[in-house]
Amino acid sequence: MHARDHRVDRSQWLAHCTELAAQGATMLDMLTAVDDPGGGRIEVVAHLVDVVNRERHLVWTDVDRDDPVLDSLLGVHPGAGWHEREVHEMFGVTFAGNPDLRPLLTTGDAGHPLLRTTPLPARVATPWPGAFEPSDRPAGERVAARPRSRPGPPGVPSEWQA
Amino acid sequence: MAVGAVQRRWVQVGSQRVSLHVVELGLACCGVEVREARRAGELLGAVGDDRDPADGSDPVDLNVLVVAGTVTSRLAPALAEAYAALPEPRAVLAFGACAATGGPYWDSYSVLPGAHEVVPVDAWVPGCPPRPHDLVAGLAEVLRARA
Amino acid sequence: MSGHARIALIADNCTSCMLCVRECPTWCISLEAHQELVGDPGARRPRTVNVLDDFTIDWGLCMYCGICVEVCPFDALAWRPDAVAPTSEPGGLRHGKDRLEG
Repeated sequence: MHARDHRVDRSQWLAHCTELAAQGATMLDMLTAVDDPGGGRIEVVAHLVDVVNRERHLVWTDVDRDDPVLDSLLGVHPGAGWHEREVHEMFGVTFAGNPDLRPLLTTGDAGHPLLRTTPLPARVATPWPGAFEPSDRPAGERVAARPRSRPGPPGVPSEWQA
Repeated sequence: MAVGAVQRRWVQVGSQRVSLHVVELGLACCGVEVREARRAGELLGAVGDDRDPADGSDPVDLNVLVVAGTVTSRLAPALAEAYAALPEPRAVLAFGACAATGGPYWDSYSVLPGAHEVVPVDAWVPGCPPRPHDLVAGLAEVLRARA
Repeated sequence: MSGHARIALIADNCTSCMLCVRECPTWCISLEAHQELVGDPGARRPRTVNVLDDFTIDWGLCMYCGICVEVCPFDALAWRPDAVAPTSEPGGLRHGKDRLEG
C-alpha cells in the first residue's frame, strides 16, 4: 500500500499526528530525521500506520539547524520515546515534552554523528591509501602535463581534508 | 574410598588432544558461525571421553574466549569483565573482521577497531564471517602459538 | 576445505590505476608504485608506465565484498577458492604482493 505524504509546519506537528491517530493511524512505525536534504534544515519524518484500514502516512516537517526543537509525540505514541532519543543523539533535535533524551549508543563525545557536518573522526585521522598516485614517483624529471585529479577520502567533508 | 573415573571431553586439534573450554562471546553475525561450529560437533574433529588417552598423555587444558562479532564501545566493559572472569590457562581468539579491526564498522562512532583494544588477543581468524570450520583452524593457531 | 574464498593478485595485469584502492569500502587495500619511461620504437617519445612495487591487503579489514575484483579494469584481481589462514602475529593478516600472488 502506498504511503500518503503529509508536509506540515513544525507548529502543526503534534496536532497533525494527533489527528491522524484519532482517525486510526495508531501505530508509530518509525520516527527519524534527515540532515540538510537541501536548504540548511533538518527534516523530521514519522511513519504512522493504520493497521485496520491498511493506510500508511509519512508526516514530514522541518526544524532549523540552529534551533532544532520539535514537540514530542510521547503523549500520542508512547513508543516514540526511544525514536526521539535516537534522533536527539544522532541529529541534536530536542523533543519538548520527552523527559528522557539520554544517548543510546554513543558516549557523547563525538557530537551528533548523522549531521553532515560531523566527520567520522576515524576517517579524518586515518591516512587514506587512495591518496597515493604513481605520478608521485615520476620517472626522472618528466611529469605529466595534466596530472589526474585526486579524489579525497570518501566520507570526509572537504574542510576536514588535509 | 572408591573414586570413579573422571570423564572429561577432549577434542583433537591438529596432533594435540585438548580439553577446551570455549567461551563464546557471540556479539554479531560471527556468533552465528561459531554457534554452528559448536553445534556440529564433528567439525571439531575427533571428540573423545577418556581422560587418559592411549598414549598416556593428558589433554592440554585451555580456556579460550572466542570474540565473535563487533565490539561496540558500550559493550567493551562487558568484554573486559568476561576476560577477567576467565580462569588461567586462558587465551583469546578474535574471530572475524570485526574482532580483528572493527571490520566494515572500523570507522564507526560507536565501534572499537578490534578486540585487542580491550583484551590481549592470541590469534586472529580472517573472514566476514569466517566459515564454521575456520574456528578449528583458529583454535589450532592458538595452540600452536602457545607451544 | 572450509569453503571460504580469498582474493588473489595477478601482478602482471596490474597497472597501478588505484581504482581498487579507492573503491574498497574498508580501505583495506594499499599499493606502492613508481613511474618508468619505456622506449617505444617509432613513437615520438618514450611511454610513461606505472610499475607496481607493493600491493597489500589487510585481511583483518577485508569484508570479502569483491568490489575490488569487479572494478579492476585489467583483471588483476580474482577470487580463489582457498581461505586466508589464521595467524598469531599482530599484523599477520596484512599480506603483501608475494603472499597475494596466484
